[in-house]
Amino acid sequence: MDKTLIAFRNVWKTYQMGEVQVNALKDVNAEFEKGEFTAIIGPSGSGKSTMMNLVGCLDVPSKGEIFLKSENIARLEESDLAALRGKTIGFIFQQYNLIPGMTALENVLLPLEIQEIDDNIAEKRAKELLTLVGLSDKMQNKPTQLSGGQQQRVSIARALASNPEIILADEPTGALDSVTGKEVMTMLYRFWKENGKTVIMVTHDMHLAKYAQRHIELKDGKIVRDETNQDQLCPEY
Amino acid sequence: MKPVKILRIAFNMVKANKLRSWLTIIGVIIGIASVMTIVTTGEFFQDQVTKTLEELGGDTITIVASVPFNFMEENASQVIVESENGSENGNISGGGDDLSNSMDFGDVETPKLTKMDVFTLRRVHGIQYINVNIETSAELEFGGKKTSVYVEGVDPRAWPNITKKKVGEGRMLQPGDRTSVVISNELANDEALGRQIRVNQMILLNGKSYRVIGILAKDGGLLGGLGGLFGSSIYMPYEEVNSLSTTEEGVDEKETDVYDSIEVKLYKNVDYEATIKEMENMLRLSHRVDEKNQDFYVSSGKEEMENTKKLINGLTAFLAFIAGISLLVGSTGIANTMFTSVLEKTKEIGIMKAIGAKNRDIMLIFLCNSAMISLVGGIIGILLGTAAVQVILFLISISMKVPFEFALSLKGTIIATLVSIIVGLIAGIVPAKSAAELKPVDALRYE
Repeated sequence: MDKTLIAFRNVWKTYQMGEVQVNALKDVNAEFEKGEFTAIIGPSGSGKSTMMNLVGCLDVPSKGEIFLKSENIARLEESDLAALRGKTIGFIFQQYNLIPGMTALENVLLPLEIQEIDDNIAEKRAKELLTLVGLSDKMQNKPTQLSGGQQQRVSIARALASNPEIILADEPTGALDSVTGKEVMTMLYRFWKENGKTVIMVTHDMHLAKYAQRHIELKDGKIVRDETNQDQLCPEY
Repeated sequence: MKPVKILRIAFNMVKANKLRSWLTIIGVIIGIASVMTIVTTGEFFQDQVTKTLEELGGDTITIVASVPFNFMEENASQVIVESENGSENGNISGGGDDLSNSMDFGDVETPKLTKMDVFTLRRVHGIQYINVNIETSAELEFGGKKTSVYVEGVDPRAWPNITKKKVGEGRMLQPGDRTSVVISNELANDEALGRQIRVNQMILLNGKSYRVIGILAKDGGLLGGLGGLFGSSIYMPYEEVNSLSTTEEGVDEKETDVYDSIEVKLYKNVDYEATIKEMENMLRLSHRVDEKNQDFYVSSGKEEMENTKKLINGLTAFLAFIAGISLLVGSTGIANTMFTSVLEKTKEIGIMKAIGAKNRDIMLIFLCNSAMISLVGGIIGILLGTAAVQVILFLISISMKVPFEFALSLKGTIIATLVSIIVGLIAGIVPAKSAAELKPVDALRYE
């Protein structure tokens, strides 16, 4: 029980689409352990994005309970959720979601500024991370001056900035070509391997899912498969 | 988030949309500048009018004889009163002994102010000076040329202390002066006379010789440019006016000890209203009249001044209200810009929330954004308003021939500043709130 970081207990998520009620998640039960690299897979509309939003505290369940570090997120206020997100979760989005008006460095600094980390410490950490993802020479570039791969690397650096326990990646290579995609996945794998972070990745790409230890497959809002990945891909770096 | 970081993000937002920010700022500028201009100009007019009225004797009280307002009615009722009471009639001369033909209403005496009234007023506490005025016109002869002048008989003991007129050359009238006169600056320089009248020169009034002992200084103020209401004036002891013989045109010889008006100046710190009441009561008693058939009129300059002030105040408030509408439009502009901005930044709000920004942070960022717009608008508006006010006042001073003075209404500036801040906050608060309350998951999905 100690190792459980996130637990879904009979989670339902219902959306109102005009007149129709859509159940995106139906009575989902799952646990994510500390240090696990999990891939949530499934076709579009299967509910995997909904699941990720719930894990990421971006949304609350319609029914059921979600425990993040033994805290029931369904009962938290938005500002508490925000604080929890900021400290515990790092997001990597498919569309990178960098703030266009800010430089790479400012983007990485932002979560640290939100946490009110001391300026000097924050800047040192942000620069270290950008160097780590190989962008030491692009720190002052705005997102529009960076390639897709570079932007995603900034986004990885940002996700790692506040040293969160969980990294949530939503189709992290979805907008990248296969070579850059592989680079990014290698980087993600490396951070998982070296830092013992919990990584939860949402993807519909089975090839990408190979990097994960565990596969959770969703279909029509239900978990249809939850198993350990026997042949986890361990890229060289 | 630290306030510094919030301000930086807000500033970057303003900067990122320069054109839109400036257009919004212009709206605020116009609103603030127009409010300021109108309030300051209004205050300037108020000051000028007050000054002018003060120069015309703002704090002196003037008493004139006047026919009772309801004289005709009074006439009718008097018949009855008269028949019953015999002695009680509307005596208006103040003396009790000249009631002779009171039954004949076709020949009712015109109301008068007499020496008796001066004695009455002397008994009123709070009065410092009492001046009497007798006005007439006379023909002035100087250096062989003639002109018609306005002559004002005054009490040399009181007039110099009551009048706002200043002597420019020579001296004012003094007690004991008989055949000495003080003349207006306009008369001294009257072109019709061919040459300037100087102090100590002799002039002839209706053929009688007088010495000019003083020349008044030029009038300033709003009416100064008009050359004063009574351009060519001569001031002399009132007793002398009686001795000015009538001219050929047949100007009535002034009755001795009957005055056209009595001017009164009160001690400072005296209850103004109460003293006026006391004066009125005493005069009514001595004239044996009541409020209804009162045969004199007490006009207090202060009251007129207050009324004029109220009028200008009202006018200023009205104009400021209209200017305020443009400020309102400006603030709607801010709200509009902020809403657009929130819409545009929806995804960024989502990102910021995803990486831990609290509702409060988002709200403050947008509030600071609108506060910056309104602050910049406010500052530029105040500067522009100040400049506009100076231009307007300069033009006014040219057309009214008064010296231009820098003027800035403190009230106007404070109002404009406060309004700009409040407008910014109010216009920003709704969009900021809607930005803060966006659900992160929806905001992230927004394209």
